[in-house]
Amino acid sequence: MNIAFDSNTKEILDYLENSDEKQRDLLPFGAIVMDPAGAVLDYNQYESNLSSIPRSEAVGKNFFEDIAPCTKNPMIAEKFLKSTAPLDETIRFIFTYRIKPTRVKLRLLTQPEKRRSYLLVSLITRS
Amino acid sequence: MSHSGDLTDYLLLEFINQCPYGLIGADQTGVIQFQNAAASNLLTPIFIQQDIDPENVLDLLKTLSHELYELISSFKKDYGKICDHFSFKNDLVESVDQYFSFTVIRISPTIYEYAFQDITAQHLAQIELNETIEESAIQAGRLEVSSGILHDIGNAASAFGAEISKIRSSSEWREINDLQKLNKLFESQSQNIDTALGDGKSSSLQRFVSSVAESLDKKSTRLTASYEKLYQLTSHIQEILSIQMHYATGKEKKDRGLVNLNDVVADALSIQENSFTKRHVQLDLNLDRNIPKISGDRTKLIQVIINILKNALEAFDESPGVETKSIHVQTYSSQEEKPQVFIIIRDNAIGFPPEEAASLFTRGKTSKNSGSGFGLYNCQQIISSHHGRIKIESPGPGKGSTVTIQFFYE
Repeated sequence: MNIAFDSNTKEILDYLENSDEKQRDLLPFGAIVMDPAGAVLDYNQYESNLSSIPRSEAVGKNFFEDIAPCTKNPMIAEKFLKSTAPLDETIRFIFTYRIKPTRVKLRLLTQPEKRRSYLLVSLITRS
Repeated sequence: MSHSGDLTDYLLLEFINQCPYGLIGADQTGVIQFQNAAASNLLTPIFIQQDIDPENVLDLLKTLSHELYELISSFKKDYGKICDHFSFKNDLVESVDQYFSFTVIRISPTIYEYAFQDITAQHLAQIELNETIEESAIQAGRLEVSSGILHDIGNAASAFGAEISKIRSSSEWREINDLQKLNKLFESQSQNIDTALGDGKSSSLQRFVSSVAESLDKKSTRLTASYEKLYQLTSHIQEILSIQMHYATGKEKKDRGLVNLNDVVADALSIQENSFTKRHVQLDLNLDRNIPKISGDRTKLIQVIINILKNALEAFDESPGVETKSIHVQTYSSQEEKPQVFIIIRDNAIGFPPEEAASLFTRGKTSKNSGSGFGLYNCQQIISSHHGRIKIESPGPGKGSTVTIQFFYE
């Protein structure tokens, strides 16, 4: 199955739920798996390359507090943490990877009933 | 840790990245070279909302604060501080009050440092503080005016009292004595008078003069009683003014003195005396003269008793069916468990459901139809500051209420 950043909700959630670390490492975009409080459960290779943070260091930390404090705002963290209904929203954002502003597209996915949240990150290249 | 590059560089970058102030490094045209997480948090939502190129801080400032934009654009030196804590309101979002403070430094001809923060909380706190200061100043002005008025009324009352006193002391009715002397003269000269004026005229004259003297004596007694009453009323007015002036100045004493609670009750009752009369409420006073003094703030304690008496008196306005309105005020001391002094104020007015008792001390709560609910809350605060206790009880609606204040002493 070819999974893209903008695959439909069901397809992408099925993939994220049923894939293992190695499979998620093959994705052509960043994929961060979190619990409802923002604790990182998985951090794929693409995102590790972008942020220079290896999976082993990211897992267990709070994404919004310790990994990417630039997301601790109403546009991202609050939407995740306050989500009580399933969420699938894509926004443009400026990530600061080691203080380098980086244009990204973020896809916020939550499944409150399964206690899982996903943040997908796609680089925006300037045309 | 397996980061590329030197560990110190990594930590330094993280140090900057996690700095709680927004930090941006941009070139002279505003193109962002680097920015930290707080900068992203603060500005990205505005960039996106305004659909502005998120890589150019000057483009954003042109919209956000044209004054700041002009300051930066017109800076001609190759380096130096352009502005220091330049604050402004974000007018782009009308529904939310947001204030920023920016410090901009030109580090080199091609690099500008933007350090900024959201100062909304501080700004709103400052506004609130300014309003409080202004309100305090107005309050102080009002107190000064009130105090001045009380002082003037006091002077007038003193002059009035002095005049009454003068009249009282000079109101000896010598005319009565003169008439009595005249009567004695008529008595001693009765034969001559009868000879001159006719039989029985002397005794007629004596009866007439006695009657006039008696009438004058009655009037004199009535007027003396009236002067005495006026003198007492003037003294009472002066006493109330003295208490009010002490209260109006409202200066809190740091060192508390020894206070006789009977005096506190008496002063409060003096101030409320007119309200008792107006509402036809009987006062049943039972003060134990032997209660010990307690350490306290006399003015604040008077304020508490006035408030409780006022509540009790106003409660009668909402209970028109009560035939004999009465308020019982009692002081006594007890040695049970600890040495204690009590003030009890009991009325037979409207009362309230027993379960509402505790909530009446909550700020903003009131059982009255008109009332702010700050009275009993303030009373409790004052009594607590004296390490005392206050409780209010009622057996139920229509059954009156009792306030018990308890102080401990060594």
